[in-house]
Amino acid sequence: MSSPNILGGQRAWRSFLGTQEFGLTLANLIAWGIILALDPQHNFASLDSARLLLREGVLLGILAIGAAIVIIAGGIDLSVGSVIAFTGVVCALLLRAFGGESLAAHQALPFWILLTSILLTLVTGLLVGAFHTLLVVKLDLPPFIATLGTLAGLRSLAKVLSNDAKIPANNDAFRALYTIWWVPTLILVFVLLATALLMRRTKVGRHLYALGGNEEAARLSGLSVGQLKLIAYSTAALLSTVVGILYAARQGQGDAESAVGYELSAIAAAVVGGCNLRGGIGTVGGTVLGVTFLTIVVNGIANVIKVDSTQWEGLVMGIVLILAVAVNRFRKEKD
Amino acid sequence: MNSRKYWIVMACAMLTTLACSTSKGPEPGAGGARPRFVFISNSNSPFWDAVRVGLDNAAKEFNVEVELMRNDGSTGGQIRRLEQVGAQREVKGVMVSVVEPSASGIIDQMKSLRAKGVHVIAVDSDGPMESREAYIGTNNLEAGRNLGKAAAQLLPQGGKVIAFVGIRSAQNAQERVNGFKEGAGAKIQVIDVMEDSSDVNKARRNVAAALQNHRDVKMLVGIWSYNAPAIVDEVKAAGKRSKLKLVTFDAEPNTLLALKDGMLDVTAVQNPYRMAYLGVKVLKAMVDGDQPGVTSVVGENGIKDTGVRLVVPDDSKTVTSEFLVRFSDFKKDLDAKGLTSS
Repeated sequence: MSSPNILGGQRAWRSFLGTQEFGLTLANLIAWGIILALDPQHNFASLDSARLLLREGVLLGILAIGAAIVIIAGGIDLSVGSVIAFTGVVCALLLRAFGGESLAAHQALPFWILLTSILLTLVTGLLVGAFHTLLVVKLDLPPFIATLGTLAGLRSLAKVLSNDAKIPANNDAFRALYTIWWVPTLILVFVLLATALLMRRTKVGRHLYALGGNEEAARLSGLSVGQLKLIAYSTAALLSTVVGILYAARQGQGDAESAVGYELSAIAAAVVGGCNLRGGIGTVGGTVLGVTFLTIVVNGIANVIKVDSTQWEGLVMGIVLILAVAVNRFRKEKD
Repeated sequence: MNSRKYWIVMACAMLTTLACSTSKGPEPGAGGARPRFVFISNSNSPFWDAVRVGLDNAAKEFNVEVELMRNDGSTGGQIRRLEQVGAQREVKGVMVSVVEPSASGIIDQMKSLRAKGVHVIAVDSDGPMESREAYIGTNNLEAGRNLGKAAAQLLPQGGKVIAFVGIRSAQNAQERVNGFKEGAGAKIQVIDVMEDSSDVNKARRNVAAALQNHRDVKMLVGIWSYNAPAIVDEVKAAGKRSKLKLVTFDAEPNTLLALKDGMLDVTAVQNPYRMAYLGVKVLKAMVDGDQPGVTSVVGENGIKDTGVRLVVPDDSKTVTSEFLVRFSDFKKDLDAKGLTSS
């Protein structure tokens, strides 16, 4: 006779086998295995390749978590790429303003300069999120339009601030935010844990799901819709800002032209990870697994197709995205 | 359909896509022993089509595999491609047309490849010396000077000039503009260098804006290859060809048509085919440890200037230069190599 504990454990395990997260984990392993097998040199087995996947996945992962929270809350944020470019330029300008000749001469900068520049950049990102909320809540603009406006506007503002030039951020300590592989990884782990906790274990998280599921019902239930949207859009903008800072560290410069089209990659990863664009459905864990899946597939193309691989990236990503949305829809209808 | 079936379907679709696409790659069994080289461009334009032909011909001749990765013009894109290449163990040599020599992210990746034993050379647009083993390309300063001298002949009284470029801070852009100013002399004033970030539509908007805002401008200069067709189209649309002298770099297919029709006064043409061909030749010699073979191409200083020609319409009489080539002769040369641009 089985004990209740064992039965409970079996039920939990069966329940896990039916989740989207399990399916995504399986898909990740299958994709990795297929690419490893098809690549005559088996590059995916190398440490360099693991580092590449980690680096690529970390930046997209942080972005996609922000995109997922907005999608779960029933919105959409199209401004992600422009926020990255804008905040990267702001961060580089702050470093130049505080660092002056030391930065130009490639000398070590005092810690307070790095910290102040990064903190002020993060505050700038939060203000962008607050601005999105203002447009969506106070002016009642559709999120698509509000963030489309900042998609165009913030990149242009970055060009104005930088006078259309690349702003050097060539400081070793600053660049270590990206060049030391475990630093951005640690940031992603922190973001993953914090947001997973927020969405799964707090009242705010449950309210965000409720808001995304049915905004009118959430409003009638007495939820503070404005505050919830502020949390969602500010979190997304803050996480885009974190990536903006990491991106500036990666390039060694603030670049108003950087991260074009990243919003689509972030939304695609969230959707592949199980988020429903109509809101109310999705998880942070699923989104990160969606990120790893896309990262494996997109980077694996170059390993499998040895000639003109870049031509195929968009096609493969498009197929994966369309299949993910189509099958999610099919599953929902069946449920 | 449960989630496991869903992911199996997705994996099969991906497998099918990859399997189909691999048919474009090298033949099975042919790739293992041959060294693999990658060329990472700085942007994507027809200029790279000639590079492609040069790479393909050299690949056949030297029995190597070569991939052309076309970057989107961004610094981040080039860093990503360098990182990707760094994770491919079979890549033995990399040619890079550096987007920005001041972008430490790009230079770090080039150095990182070299530290792993991958041979790295700069082609077309140079990077700092420590980032590459050799540079093969146009002496852009000299090319700019020659175009500037031609400009001075076209505008003997001098006047205001506006230049158009993808990325102002790119090494080849800076050198071309500076060389042009030197060659053109003091009478010709470059009042603006308008940047389009490798966006062809923006390149056209820049020309239209320049024509509207600077009615006293006498000459337009296209610094990057796609700037030439953008200039020609906008000038034609504004009906200002007779009032403007148009000088450019490179010869995209539409630039050649413009030259044929007399819509351009002169274009300074590089030799991308030769750059690519020599790039593969040098990398093969490096991989084989054939130092005399390397030196025979890039000399002791590791630099090879592939030269420049000034192409003018067949009926042009104003420009004289030792590098002058008439359109018909230039076209014959391209046809002989199977090229549609240069």
